[in-house]
Amino acid sequence: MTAVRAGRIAETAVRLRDGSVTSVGLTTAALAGIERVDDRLRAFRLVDREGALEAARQADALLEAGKDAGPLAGIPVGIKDIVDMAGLPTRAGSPAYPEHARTADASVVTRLREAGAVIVGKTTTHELACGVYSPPAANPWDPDRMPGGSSGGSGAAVAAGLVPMALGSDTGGSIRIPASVCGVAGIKPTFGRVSRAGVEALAWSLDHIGPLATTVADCAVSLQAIAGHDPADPSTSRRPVPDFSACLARGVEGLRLGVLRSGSFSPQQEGVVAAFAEAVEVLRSLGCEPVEVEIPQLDHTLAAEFAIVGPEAASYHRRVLRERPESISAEIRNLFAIGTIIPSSHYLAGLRARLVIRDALRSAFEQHGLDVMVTPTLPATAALPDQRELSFGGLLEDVTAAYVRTTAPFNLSGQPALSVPCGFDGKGLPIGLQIAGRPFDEASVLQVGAAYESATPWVDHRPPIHAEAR
Amino acid sequence: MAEPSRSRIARVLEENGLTGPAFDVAELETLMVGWVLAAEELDRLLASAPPGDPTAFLPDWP
Repeated sequence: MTAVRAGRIAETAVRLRDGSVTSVGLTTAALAGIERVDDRLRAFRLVDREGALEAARQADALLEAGKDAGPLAGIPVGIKDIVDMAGLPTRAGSPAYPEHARTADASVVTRLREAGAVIVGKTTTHELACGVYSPPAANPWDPDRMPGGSSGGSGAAVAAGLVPMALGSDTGGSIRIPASVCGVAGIKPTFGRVSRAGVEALAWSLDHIGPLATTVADCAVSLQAIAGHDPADPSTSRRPVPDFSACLARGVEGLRLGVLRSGSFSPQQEGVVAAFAEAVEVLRSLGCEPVEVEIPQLDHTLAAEFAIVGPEAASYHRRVLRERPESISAEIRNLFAIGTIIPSSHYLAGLRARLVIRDALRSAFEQHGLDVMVTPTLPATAALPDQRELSFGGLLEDVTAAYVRTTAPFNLSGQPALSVPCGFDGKGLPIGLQIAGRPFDEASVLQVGAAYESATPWVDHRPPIHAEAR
Repeated sequence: MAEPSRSRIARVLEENGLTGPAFDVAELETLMVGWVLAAEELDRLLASAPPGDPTAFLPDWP
């Protein structure tokens, strides 16, 4: 067994049960924090003050009565604004979606409520969950920079300490990208592990739902609450869900670690190269056995990813595209238009390439006897909101392409992948370590993440705005 | 995937009800160059790929 860092949620749960804090107190503090700093962060698009306080009062009543109020009882959380909540609109970061209230909760919201969570509001998303900038949200480490995306509001809200957990979605990296650039933990679970019923889609065959949280332990307890088969989403797996929190302290000695740093994972900014190398050495010092692996098929990640996203997104949004095209920004409208124009053979080529990439990753795991694979989450830190290219030693690359080339392989394969903070660059911007596992083995991914997090100081680093929010 | 002509792009857009100034056919023609290159890249990758039902994706490994 290994000593791992307790999560903020677990610590708060103890205090809620011993009566030293109340959910109403926590929720009031979260709402006050949002009021103090969110005019600068714009992490929340909508704050549900009354709904949150009522949920907090109910949680306090259950806790005071000594009843089982659930693992997230009384904990304030945020929800990405592509996820339906009864009585509130879902705008998906777009004027294309009406302001009228949705009539039912998404399945993940139902599960969070059943686990006792107090939902304080809906977080900012990049338009239609299709981008990595998430305007107008800002990065807590440098409000002049973007928080990543598309779950940028969730990353910013957690990094600023407004909530310990916020839900995100991930089609090509949209949980791990903001987790990396905002310096928090975030896990994209296995495809089929978490229901997507009641969530606006981007690309059905690649969309995943998962938590961004202060620590790996907080990711584990949050994922536990939302994972499992859902009759409302036929793509969810009937596999049993293990106790993720119980797996965290298993230790990592003897685990085989595939190290991916070449091919589509290159080039990287200098600070990322150094932080990743150091992270591998930390894991080695904990008893892991790093093995360098190369998977040339991953060089085709972007071609496969966009061949699938374009047509699926065009199909999902076809009505808005036809009837109100001006309500979609030009860049995304062009992607959807091209998704309509390209022949079905190209979409099917993308799906076939996805199988090639999945099989190549599986072969690497099997051939090298790997337990997990590690990579830099992103080749670069947070870009500026209007920056369209990153420079890698003079080589220019589109920001979105650069971010997605390291995260999307695991959307295509459906494998679980976690991002945890692993340092800072010369500008003081966070860097992420990505840990990917075998399908439905989130437990190993979280286990390695928790061990790494406990052995390093990064989770204790907080942006200056964090103090203002509390 | 062959590089579509401007007239073909306009026709496909119209067939799908995508009409009006929001759709800049010249811009789409330019953007399509990258998609044609991506299609060629996938063709090369798939030249030696085993046959299989591409619609039957499951994350599970056998």
